[in-house]
Amino acid sequence: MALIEIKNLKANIYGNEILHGLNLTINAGEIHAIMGPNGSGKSTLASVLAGKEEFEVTEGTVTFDGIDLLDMSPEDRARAGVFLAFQYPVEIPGVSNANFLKTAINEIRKFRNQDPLDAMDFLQMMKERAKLVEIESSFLSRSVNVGFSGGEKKKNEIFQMAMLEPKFAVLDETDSGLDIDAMKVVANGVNKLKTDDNAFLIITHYQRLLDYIIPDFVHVLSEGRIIKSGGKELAYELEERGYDWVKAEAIA
Amino acid sequence: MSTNISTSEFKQKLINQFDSLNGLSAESNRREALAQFDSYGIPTLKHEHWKYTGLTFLNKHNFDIIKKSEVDYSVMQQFANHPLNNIEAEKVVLVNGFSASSNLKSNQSGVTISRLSDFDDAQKAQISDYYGQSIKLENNPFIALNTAFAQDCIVIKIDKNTVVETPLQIVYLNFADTHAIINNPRLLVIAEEGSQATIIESVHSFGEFASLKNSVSEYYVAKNASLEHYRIQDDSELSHTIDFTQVNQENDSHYHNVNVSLGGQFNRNNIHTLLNGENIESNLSGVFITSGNELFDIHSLADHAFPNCESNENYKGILLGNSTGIFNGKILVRKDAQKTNAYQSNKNVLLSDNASIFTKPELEIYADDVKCSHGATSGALDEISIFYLVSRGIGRKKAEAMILNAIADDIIDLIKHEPLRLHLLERVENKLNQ
Repeated sequence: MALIEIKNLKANIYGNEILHGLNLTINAGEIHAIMGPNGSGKSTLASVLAGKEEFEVTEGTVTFDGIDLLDMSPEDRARAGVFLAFQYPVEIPGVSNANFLKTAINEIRKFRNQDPLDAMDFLQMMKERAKLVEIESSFLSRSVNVGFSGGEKKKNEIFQMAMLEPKFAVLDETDSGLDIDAMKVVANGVNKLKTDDNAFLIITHYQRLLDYIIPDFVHVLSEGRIIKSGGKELAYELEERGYDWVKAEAIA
Repeated sequence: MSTNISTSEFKQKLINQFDSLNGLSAESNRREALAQFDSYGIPTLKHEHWKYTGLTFLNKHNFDIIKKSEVDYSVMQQFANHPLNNIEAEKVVLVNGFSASSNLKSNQSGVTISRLSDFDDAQKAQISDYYGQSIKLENNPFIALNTAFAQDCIVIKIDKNTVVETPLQIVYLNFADTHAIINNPRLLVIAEEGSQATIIESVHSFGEFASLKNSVSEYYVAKNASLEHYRIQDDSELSHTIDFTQVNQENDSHYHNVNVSLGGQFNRNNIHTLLNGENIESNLSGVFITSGNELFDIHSLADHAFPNCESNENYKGILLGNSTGIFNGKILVRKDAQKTNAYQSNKNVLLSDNASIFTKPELEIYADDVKCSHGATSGALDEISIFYLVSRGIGRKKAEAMILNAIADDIIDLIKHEPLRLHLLERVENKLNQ
């Protein structure tokens, strides 16, 4: 069964339709990449999946793990196992990373009828997962993203993902603004977290990240629709030839 | 129970009670104070410093001035189990401004706690340079009211170079069980040269009637002394406060005031600091959470009279329901106060369309080589921050509470006395999660 199935999704912001009927199916154990020019609707798709309220869905369905995702509140989507790595992670002064994640994990556990995580286990888990994305443990007591460099913020997104163990994660331009070392760390984190039971949707402008996270499928998003899908080699072709030929092909 | 009376009737009623009281100050001082109160009258919204702070509650409750002989100390039992009675501190408990005991000895050496009413003439002479000397009756009707009607004053003296280990806590219990009352507590704190201490003031109201605590406190922080001063009010809908605190600082002294207000129907706080020397550090901070029809008002003044001093002000407000917040922060840099650093920040979060905040910075600068800044923000909670937390599985209500908690904790974390800090952190968390 598909882990996530998007059918004829139409969404607008302030009356301006961005997604014009998008179809995409992702199975557990797969990594999909979505590429596309600016303004094609990539980040809108990410926001709609995460449940950002400014976006209004007018048509279509999104089924996640057999349930209607669009009917769920953003917090319930996260609790059910959807994760969005933000393009622009938000700074929350006065809320420590540790407190933030402990609250999130325990809310998720409550939703799943599990007992709250014991403080020691939580600490142990945090230290372990921090290593995965090569962040120092001092960073865990600091306020969420406050005073973090661009690279640290993106690493923190992957760290949160590692802590929350989602079934389906959307990475919205996680590679933007990253130097090659930080990108390797991020990619390495994703690769280690990937299992046969989860899936990733990588939204990116550039093929570069896909050298380190090898996608099973690459899709081209243009004007709110997926106009071409292929294997990982499609990413190279796009990098070399741009998007115009795909658009031309789609019209023809 | 409310019987509305006019403002002039209310004023006259208080004046009529004057002769039946044994005042604390000399009769001539009391008469002068009464005359000042009479000539200024009860402020209205037309008075600049009361523009947003309506005093209509004064007409509603049929307040009487409490007499020393009427005080019922049994209310101390009701306070016994209060969490703020159980934090580590040396306590002075006042009921409507009066201490039951004349024997207020401190257990700490170098600290004297006494009632002014017990002083002989020699002792009175010793404090004559302090008592009432830092405040002005003119144009301050409530200081005048207090001076005319105060029947006692707690005097705390910290001797030269004394480091006071255990904080001193003044517990103000308002008790109005038979009718609405006004009490006029008076506090005088003298921290001598090189001394260090923490003073906590907490305010708690009991009884079925309204109370108004019209208090005046004078703090003298001598050369190289360091004073931490915490004011906590977590009070009922029958409590009303008009407080005036004047702090006079001398060379190389440090003063830090943290005001945490979590409840109280009407709470006007005037805090004035006079930086009367060089190399002084003076910090005022506070956080208030208001709901229902509560009003919280802070009027502050940092008066820089000498060069090379620094003052910081940092106040935050969280407003719910129909509540009102007022921040009026004045920085005065006198002509001689070169190289002054004075900073002010006021941030407010409004959680309801019916809550209001009035924030007004006032900078009056007569020196030309100073660094001063001020900033004020007021608005709803940041939706982007909330979405970030919610997108990680945290419920919206909890996400809001986390962000609000962080705002309040930023101020509460400034409290160095750990038992008090921990109590307040927990109390705020519970309050915001309600």
